[in-house]
Amino acid sequence: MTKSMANIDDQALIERTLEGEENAFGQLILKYQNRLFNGLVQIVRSAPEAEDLTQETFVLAFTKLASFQGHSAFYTWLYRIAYNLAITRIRRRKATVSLDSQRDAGIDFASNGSSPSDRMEQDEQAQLVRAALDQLSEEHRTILVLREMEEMDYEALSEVLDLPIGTVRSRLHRARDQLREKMMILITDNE
Amino acid sequence: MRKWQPFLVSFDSPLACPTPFPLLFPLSKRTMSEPHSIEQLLSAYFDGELNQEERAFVENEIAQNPSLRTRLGQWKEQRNAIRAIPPIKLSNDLSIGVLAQIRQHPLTAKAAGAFISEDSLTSSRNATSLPEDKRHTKPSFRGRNRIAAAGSLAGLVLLALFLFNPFRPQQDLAQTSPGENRPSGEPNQFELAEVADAHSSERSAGRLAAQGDRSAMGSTSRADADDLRIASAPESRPLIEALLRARAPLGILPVQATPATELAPDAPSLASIAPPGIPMGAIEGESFSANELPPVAAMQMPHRKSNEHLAADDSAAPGRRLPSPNSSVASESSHATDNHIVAAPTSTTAAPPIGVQQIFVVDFRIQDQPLAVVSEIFSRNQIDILTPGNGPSKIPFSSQAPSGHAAMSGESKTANALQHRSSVGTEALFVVASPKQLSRAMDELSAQADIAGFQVNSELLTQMLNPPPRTQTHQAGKVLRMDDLIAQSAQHSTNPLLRNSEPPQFDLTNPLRRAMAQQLRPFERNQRPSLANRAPSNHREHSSDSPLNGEQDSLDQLIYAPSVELNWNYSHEKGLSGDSFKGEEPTKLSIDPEQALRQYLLLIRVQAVPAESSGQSAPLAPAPVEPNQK
Repeated sequence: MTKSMANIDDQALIERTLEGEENAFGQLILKYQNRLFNGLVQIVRSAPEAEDLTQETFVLAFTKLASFQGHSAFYTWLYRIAYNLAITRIRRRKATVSLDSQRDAGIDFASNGSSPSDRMEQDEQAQLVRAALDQLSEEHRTILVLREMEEMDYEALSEVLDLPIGTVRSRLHRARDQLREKMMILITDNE
Repeated sequence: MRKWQPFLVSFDSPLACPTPFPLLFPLSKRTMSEPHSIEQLLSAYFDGELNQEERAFVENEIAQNPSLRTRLGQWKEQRNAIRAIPPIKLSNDLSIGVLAQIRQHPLTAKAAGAFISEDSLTSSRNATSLPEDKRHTKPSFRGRNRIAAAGSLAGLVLLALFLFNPFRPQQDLAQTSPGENRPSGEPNQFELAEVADAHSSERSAGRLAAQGDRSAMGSTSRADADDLRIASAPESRPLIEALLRARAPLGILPVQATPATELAPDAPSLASIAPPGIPMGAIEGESFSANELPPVAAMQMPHRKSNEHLAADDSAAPGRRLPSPNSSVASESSHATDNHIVAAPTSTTAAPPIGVQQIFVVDFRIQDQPLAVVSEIFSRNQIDILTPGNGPSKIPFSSQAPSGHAAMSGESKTANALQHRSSVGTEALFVVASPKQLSRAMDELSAQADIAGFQVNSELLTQMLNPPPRTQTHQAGKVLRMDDLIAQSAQHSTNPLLRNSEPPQFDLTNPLRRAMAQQLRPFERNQRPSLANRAPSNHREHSSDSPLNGEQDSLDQLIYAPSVELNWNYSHEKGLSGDSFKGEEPTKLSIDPEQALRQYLLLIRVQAVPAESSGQSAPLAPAPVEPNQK
């Protein structure tokens, strides 16, 4: 589905929601909840918190739905709300739980259908990347996640993070370098 | 304003300064005003975000420099690795819970229909129109009146559904409603939604869909529009309105506008995030009359003096001069003769600072950027930098150290180290500023492409006054904005030190300020700082009686040894232990830590701006430093 088609679909759902059709908003939630949740997980580093924030984001989005004017994609607008909530939550949080520790606690990671040995290797690599991401600053981690996972362009990043595009560019560059350094350190430590 | 420099391919060198594109190459409009290095361009090229000319340039550079291609390959691997992280499954379908919450929460149900009040519509209309090219060019989703009507209709429909819906899934009621147990002080969800709305529609203007009392907001500050509002608590508004009405009798003077510090007349009020009981004058950046200051500060309200006057004073009490707001740090640090902080010399023509001055510790993680830019920005915002000693040492950013852990180079400081540093590094500076000044400076710094990030630790100083169990981690690279400063300070309101029974007769910005004022009360007798308390230049013994040990050591060292090299230990962040510090052993003084801290606390008194009507012409003199009288 192209972006424009997705936007048209979102607009239609939004209009229907505003007309009182509850199911329309439900469809929006179903459409974006996983994506939003996984994006938030990478920011707040806690699946339960990310779930909480995702729900909170949708509630907030609902209250402000009438004011969404379509300047940007609906998901960008939604993510902006989520990001603000996440940042606020992070500032008030006292401890960060590593996602890897949550794995031990039974948090379910989606299987991609590969073989056990492949999954193990992927798991190790994912752990390495997650550990490296964990060590990044929240700003660097967020922008990397939004760019690499959410595939947001600079314009969308600028809007979500409320940064000038020049800052987006420089921050992303630094984030990449930082991640590379972290991964190298972790690889060295593991050897 | 940074000067254009010849273009250099220098991304591998840690000493490289970022350089802009040669002017021969036309730049895309969005990047025209920002200097960037080949590395940043490469990164943007990797993301497909360059225009044709930039892309051609980068490709030419790649052809000539194979290491650039290697870097691209590394980033690609990195991207693939990130994308290969398996998604996490949601534990359940959130739509049920969300819809249930929407139905059941009367506010959300009502808001769905009628959130856009007349006030906010009015404020939106009153907001200065965006330039034509920034207006929403797509067909308007809904006219504002239609939005209100549709919202009202939707609200009625939802309300009807709520009232007449026979089916209310009980299991939905059991789901946690995120907003119900929100700790006090957390943002109102509608404030957050307002922020999202504001940014979706008028980001460049930084305007908010405001309440009626802020309908004329015109702040263009990103921080004002976003972060401050996020922390805004609705319960503070009645207080703010009451304070507004009470302002005149308090004799609070308006701040003198200066080019560097002029406040937008309708800027969002910092009082919106003020803890209850904080008079607005203390926050809006207005001067205080002598009557409004706490007794300790009201005792003597010195004028801010010119350097000449302070030089005369210094002959009696040698001390290190603080940089004046309008001078560079380097020129001031060259006059350092001692480690006492005597006063903040300023030009007699300098405008008074905005708001009550406090001490903040600002942690910079700066790469590829001389701290001269930081110094310039701070100077422009009339923020005094209290660089311990004669200037910070040169701390090369070590790629071998974990992020944020910069080893001390051991290089000796020079008087002009701050001005002339060109290497990457990290630096923790004590700055004296009001929260508003600091917030503005941080906004400017954020706009600098090469500032990696910084944080402000106002809570650390409070902890030093009465060290509670450590409750917060020291997270690197996180920008704390004004609301966070206030919020963090407010967290210490249960500190016994702050629970004073005295009537709130003085205006203080936050509990940190009150704590400092309380600490200063024993020093009402104008005693000179004891020369015996001067910080020696090198290794000292740490006072075993100090209550500040262990994790506080890193900041303690700054207090204890303001003239020696920094041994900045970022071990607090990310749970790493102090053993990860890779540098010299910390040098500590035999000075009592609270005594040393009081030297800094004195700055608050010294920098308090006297009322014009006070007519005081007393020379600027530091308050005394007494031995600890605990």
